Amino acid sequence: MWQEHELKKGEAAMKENLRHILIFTITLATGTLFVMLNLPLLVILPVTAAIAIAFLILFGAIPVTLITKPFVKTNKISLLKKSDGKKETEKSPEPAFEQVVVKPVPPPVKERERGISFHLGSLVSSFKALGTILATRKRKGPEKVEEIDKLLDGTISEKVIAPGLASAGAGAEVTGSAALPREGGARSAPDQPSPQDQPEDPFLSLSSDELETGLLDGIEDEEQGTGPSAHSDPATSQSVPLPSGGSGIAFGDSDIPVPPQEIVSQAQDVPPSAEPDPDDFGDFEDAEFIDQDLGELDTIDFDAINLDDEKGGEEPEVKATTSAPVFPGAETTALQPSYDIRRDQGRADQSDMAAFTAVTGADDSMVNSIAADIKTVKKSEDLLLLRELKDFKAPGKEIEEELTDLYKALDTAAEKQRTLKQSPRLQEK
Amino acid sequence: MFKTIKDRLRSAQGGSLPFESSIASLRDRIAQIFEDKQMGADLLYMTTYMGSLALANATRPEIFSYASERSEYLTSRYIAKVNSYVKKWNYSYAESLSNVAERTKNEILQNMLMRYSNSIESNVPDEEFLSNELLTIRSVYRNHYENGFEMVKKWGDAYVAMLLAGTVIAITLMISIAIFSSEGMQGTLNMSYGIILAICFFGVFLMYQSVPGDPKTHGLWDRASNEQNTIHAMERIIVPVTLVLALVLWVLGVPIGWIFVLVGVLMAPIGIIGFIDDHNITLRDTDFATFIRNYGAVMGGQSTTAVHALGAINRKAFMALEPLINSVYSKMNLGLNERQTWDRFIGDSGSDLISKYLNIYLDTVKLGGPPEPIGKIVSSSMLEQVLLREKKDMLAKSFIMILVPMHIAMAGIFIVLFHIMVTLTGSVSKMMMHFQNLSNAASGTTVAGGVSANSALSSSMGMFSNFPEDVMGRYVIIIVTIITVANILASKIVGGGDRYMYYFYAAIFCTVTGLVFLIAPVIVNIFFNPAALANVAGT
Repeated sequence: MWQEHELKKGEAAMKENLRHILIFTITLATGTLFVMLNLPLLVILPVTAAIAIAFLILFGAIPVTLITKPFVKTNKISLLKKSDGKKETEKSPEPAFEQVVVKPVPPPVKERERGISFHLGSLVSSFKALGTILATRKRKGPEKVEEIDKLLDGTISEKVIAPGLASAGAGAEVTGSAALPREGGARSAPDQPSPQDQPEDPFLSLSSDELETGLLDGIEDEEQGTGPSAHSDPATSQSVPLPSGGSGIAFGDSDIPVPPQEIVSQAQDVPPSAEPDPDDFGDFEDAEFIDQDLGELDTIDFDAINLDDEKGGEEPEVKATTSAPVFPGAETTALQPSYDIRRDQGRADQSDMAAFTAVTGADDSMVNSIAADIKTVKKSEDLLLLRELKDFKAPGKEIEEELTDLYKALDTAAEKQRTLKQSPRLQEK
Repeated sequence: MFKTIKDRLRSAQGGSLPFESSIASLRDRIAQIFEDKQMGADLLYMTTYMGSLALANATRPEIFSYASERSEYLTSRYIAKVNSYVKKWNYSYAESLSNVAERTKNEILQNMLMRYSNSIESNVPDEEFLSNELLTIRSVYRNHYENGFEMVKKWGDAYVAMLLAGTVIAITLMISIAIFSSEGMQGTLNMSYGIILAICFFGVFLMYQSVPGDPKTHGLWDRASNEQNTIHAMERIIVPVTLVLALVLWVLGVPIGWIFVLVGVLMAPIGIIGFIDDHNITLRDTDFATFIRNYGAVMGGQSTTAVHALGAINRKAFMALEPLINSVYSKMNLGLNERQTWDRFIGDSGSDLISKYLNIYLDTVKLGGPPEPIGKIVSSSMLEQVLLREKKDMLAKSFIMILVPMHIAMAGIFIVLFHIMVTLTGSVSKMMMHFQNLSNAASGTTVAGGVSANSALSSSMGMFSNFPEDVMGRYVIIIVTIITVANILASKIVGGGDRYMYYFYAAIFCTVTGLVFLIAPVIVNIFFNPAALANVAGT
């Protein structure tokens, strides 16, 4: 067996050597013959070169498969062959093995016959590629340097921070500063556990910056109605001012409106004993508490809420199944149950208000996380979409027309809905 | 035998061989030049790698030992020294870094090691230091790179000017030889060769020293891109065949123009395939910087495996990489070994940047690093190199765009002047023969005044009649060949890329030179008609 293998190897080597000598001799002989025949050099050189290249391909000195075969095909075969040994030890080696065995290896003669046409085809495609390359290279102008410089500035200053810190700094990202200095320092000792080793907290973004003790300190100030906490992070407080009657946890102006004055005054009337102690904020860390609230939110039937009625200033007809008090001023869909409180605020007693103020912080933080999420979504750019729309031109008129159509369609749909709702009432009457 | 002679010499010279220290210092100097060229990029790779390791929560000993094992970076040698100081000699990391920095000649590396030492001494966490250091190294690299190609720009202009001056010197010498005596001209010609060689050598060397090191292909011995495989297969045959053919034709006395054209034509296929591969690598590198960021973001954001992340990515967005990514995706779906699949991807891409950065990403993610920030780090560092390379390519393109016409102009002037000289001296010789015959015929019959006029004219025109056509023809060929070779080297040095770019530039410059050699006599014959000049003698 081994001898056979060696013999084959020797034959192959001999063939290779023979091929080299043959090609060289043929080229040299052809050229010499042409010279002897006193043919003009203009004819000799290209013809000799052409003959030499033709013999190179015919003798297989230029492996045609390297040029003609596509990437995937060649790679798949070679890799499968390579991984045979490993595959045997794995669960199902059959498919790879079958593929290797079943696939017939084309005879070398056929390959050679196919090779010339493939080679010519690839040469043509290569020259076509060359044309496109030259065309694309021409497009670059001098303004390109400025563009590159701008991109370079952005690339060089891009600082990447660890994932835990990245999520903690989500609020900071909203303000536009990509790389705020890390507070408390990074992992100084090498043997400290990694953020990945710790169980992943779905509310991680709520548990560091927003719930820092500095922010909780602001509660005392708010008792006196002094506005935003002086101890809060300046970057956060700049863009996300605190509401006057809030608990000291930041949320955006645009998302959370200021609660009605009546509620604020009622909240201020709450006796100090019923007000939350700063120590009670330890409950924020309790994930179960938040999960419970979120679970209750899930039970809300959003389809049952009539937005039209809400627009008209009427009270919501559908009563939420949850009893959890939510921040009254929130207009987000998720906070619809708050309208219950607003409706019943005339008969709300002090104990309810105390309960409200006790849990407002948790709800605020939830609202805050939603607000942060929305902002993060706004901030992120869909690169794929941008790339697809790179050369897409949308004239203003078309957009206007489309929007008008959409508006009309929505209008008619709303009209229909209104008439449908009114008709059963009329029937009942 | 040689050892005993060496020992004997050493003992005779008092412990050292003659010029041993000079040779050693020269060798060190050359090694330093090579190292300085590579240091900027390698330091960026290493800092990116160390920063990624820090993100993977590797401990300090792990960071140092992993970094010291990356033998593909020059800097790993220094980190290995630090590591051995700590592990074998029980030095602290700060002391070791400081010790190694003191013995480092490269300024950029020395500063980096000193900064690291200081940060460890002041208890700055590794992660924080490395993330800041990466920004610093990026800025330093950019500065170094931009300075490098500003220098290349200057040296490039100087090179073209010097080469033009050298050609002017050669032309002046040629005309001087035509006017004055051709005796003892070999020394003058040798001096001319020396001047041209010196200009070419210093020009090319200074450009080589200034140009920032930026290898484009990975040069892995077992894997390469499709085009690189084709080139490697073809060059083994075409290059020796070309050399032998050129030599044989030279011996057979075929005009040099045809030999140059033949060399250019034979080099063109490899050169063009090389040029396509070079362009493909540029595109792949640009795509990869975005791809690795997206890939990391999907892997990290969705907490998925590599296969699912690849499936989630819009592969069509990466036009240059799409076939390769599809290949990886299908292999992973088949359950093939992930590392081998990625190795194949690296090989098929043919790119050095992809090879280096993908290895950083795969290694650090395998160590448990978060894919998203690692992808970002890798992508940013790579994007910087890609952008700087793009900037350099624009400069290189403009340099080559100047060099090719300049080469045509220099070779053209030189060759055309040579042919004018040949035509002129041929006509003058004919004229002189005619005057000689006239004077011989008239010597017996006419008066002395007519003879003296003829002899005076023949003596004044005699300076153009002894032009050594063969010697000067060889001189022109040698000078033009030196200039052609120097321009090929200069283009490759400034343009960058793999070895195969030599073939591309050889194809351009040899074809152009050959055409100039072939066309120049035709043009000279059109404008300087020897028959018309010979008729002057008849009138």
